[in-house]
Amino acid sequence: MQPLRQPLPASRRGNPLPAAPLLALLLLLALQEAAGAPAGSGGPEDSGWHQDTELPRRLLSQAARVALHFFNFRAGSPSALRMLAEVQESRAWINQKKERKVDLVFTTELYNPEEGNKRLGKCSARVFFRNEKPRPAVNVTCAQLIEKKKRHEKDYQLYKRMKQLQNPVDVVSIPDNHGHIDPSLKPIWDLAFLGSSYVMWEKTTQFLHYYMAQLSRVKQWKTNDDAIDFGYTVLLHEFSTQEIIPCHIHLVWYPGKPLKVKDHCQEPHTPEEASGTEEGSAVAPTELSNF
Amino acid sequence: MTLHYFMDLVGPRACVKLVLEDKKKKKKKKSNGCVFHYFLKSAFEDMMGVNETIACILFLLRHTLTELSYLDCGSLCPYAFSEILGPLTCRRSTGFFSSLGRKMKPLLGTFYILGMLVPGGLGYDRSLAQHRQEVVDEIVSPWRSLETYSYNRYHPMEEIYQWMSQIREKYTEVVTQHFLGMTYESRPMYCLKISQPSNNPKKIIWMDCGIHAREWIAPAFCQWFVKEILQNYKDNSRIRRLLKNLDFYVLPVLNIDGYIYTWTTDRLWRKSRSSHNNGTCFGTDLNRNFNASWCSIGASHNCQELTFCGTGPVSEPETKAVSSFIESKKENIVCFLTMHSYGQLILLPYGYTTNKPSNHEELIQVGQKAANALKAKHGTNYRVGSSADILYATSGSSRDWARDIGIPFSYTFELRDNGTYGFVLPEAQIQATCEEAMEAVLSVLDDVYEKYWHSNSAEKATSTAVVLSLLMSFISLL
Repeated sequence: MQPLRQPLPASRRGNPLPAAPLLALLLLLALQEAAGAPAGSGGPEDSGWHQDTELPRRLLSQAARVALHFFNFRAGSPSALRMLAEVQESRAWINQKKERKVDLVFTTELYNPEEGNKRLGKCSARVFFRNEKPRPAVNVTCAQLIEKKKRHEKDYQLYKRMKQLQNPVDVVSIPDNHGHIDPSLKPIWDLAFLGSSYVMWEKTTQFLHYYMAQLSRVKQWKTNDDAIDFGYTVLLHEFSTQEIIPCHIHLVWYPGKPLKVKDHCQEPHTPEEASGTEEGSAVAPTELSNF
Repeated sequence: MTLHYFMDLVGPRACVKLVLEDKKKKKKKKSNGCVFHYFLKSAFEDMMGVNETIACILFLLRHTLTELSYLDCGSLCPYAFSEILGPLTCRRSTGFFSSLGRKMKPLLGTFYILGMLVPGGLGYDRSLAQHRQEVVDEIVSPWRSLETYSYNRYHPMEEIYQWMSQIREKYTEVVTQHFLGMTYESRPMYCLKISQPSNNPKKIIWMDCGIHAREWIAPAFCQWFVKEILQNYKDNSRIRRLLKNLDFYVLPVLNIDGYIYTWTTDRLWRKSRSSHNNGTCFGTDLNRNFNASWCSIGASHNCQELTFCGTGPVSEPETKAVSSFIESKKENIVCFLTMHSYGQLILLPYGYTTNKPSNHEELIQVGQKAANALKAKHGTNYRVGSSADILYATSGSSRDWARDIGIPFSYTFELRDNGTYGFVLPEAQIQATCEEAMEAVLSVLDDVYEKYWHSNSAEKATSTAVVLSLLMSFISLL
């Protein structure tokens, strides 16, 4: 795969990146690498990489989902969460160490769409799976779906609704067993999904991928700086083993600021919870992320 | 001789004490025991003499809403019964003791009881029975009729049993209920057969739902499907045509014990409720328990895991019940559909290998056409492919087994959604999910019908000829 030596229109912060074909993405990433990108995001011209024609189809949607988890977390906006619509283009590479690189173009839609607004937003991503290790390296860019100002407004409204909720929130599970979420509790679900996105990205490997099944045990605390400080247990569904993994998540959020997440997941089939907490904090948006 | 029976409801169980009194000889025989109460219509006669040494308790159980009685013969005695349609007989079979049965008190003797639907019977004391029944009526839930049954809600197993009975009674000209076997926890498994009586030779379509307990939308779809067929078979030409040569067998809940467990204890339970390792571990993944490359890949020998394949192929009573039934009719079964969630997929064989069955191309075509029909309804995308290709490797699945015993059209449907709510799909989405899935299933059935009774091609030829001749005559007028 020979990269073309062509100038690419620069992406300015605040402007939506035009829906770039795969080729342009690859060039962009190659340029980024030249500028000293984080290790591990080697371009196709690295030795040892060859095209993976036997890539299982399920890995494509898995890669798109984990890219989206990462995107959602980094965007830190519970009212602008996105879900996968369709994978449109993809290319994959594999090396001798059985590590995989997947380049994707996919469409997304809003988790909480506005009335009659079912627009699709295009995303490009490169996902790098380090064999069986979790926390795949993700570079993802998405075209804007909501205006920045509007998004901040909605986040702030969500924040206010959260603040108004009774403390502690006395809820058994969200959604209930019949799939209902009381409208007053929806902000909790959205914020929990945001925090869970981090955890799901953190645990995803080539072979394991996660969905958020149900939320239980919600507790909210107050903080000095008025941020939302809240803890909950989420039941994650791992698809290949079909296991349900309970994770205790503690997050701190203020609209517009990066999300802080602490999580502690139970290993399946062990009587006690796995020791060792992991802490993740939001990384400031890089040049490539626009929304 | 007078037979008294006393009945009390204890949670999901009913306990019955039977006293057989011979007033002349001044003798009394007593026995008691408990069963889970389910209802089925039966009038039964016992084939054993009173002096039989093998004990068998027959429990009469009246369901609150309908005049039904339940015979828990199978779990407590070495006699198993096959079909419950009319007169029920206890037949000898080989070793069908459940652990529940073993725990029951030793019994004093055999009885025979005629169902309450048979007046007179053995002359049992009705007045006593009626008094008890009144007490029973007070405890349980009020009458619910088929007219008010909501297909947009999830229903607990009790209501689904009741619904089946009501369906059978209302559409008695086309519906019969068939007993398949008992679950691990001694609950009866019933399927509904929908068949238009005729002299035409029939082929069979099988559909089962709820092999995985937490996938609630699947049993909801089976009920929806039955409702749609029965409400429309008289007026809708498409459905009428299908029923001319096809019989439908629908099993609304395969993993009954698991399904009940998701209502009472753990909403996200998947497996059955069989006990293993001395009661320290529960449940087999029934969709890894069929005899199709059993436990070779994508399944676990460890009971702790959610893809535990069981202690051997077809080790579970639920799997056995379905296998035996399908095996006995396999010559005539042309289509095997098994409904799951979630993922929005139409899956072909196989999961245990990437090799393709001989009719792979045809299966893809029919599947894709079904996915297109589904999408046309509400815009939902379902992907089509073999399980090993687009999902992951699995062995021991019912779909693969069905294909391997010769059933040509064998599909797994993974219904909505794509992970947003997953297993806990909101009731608000039941209708749309079922409507679109209905289109997909009908599309498959149309293709199956076309393949075996290609009347349509003849009709097409005729109508084309008519058009041509009209055109010719029109042209000649110019």
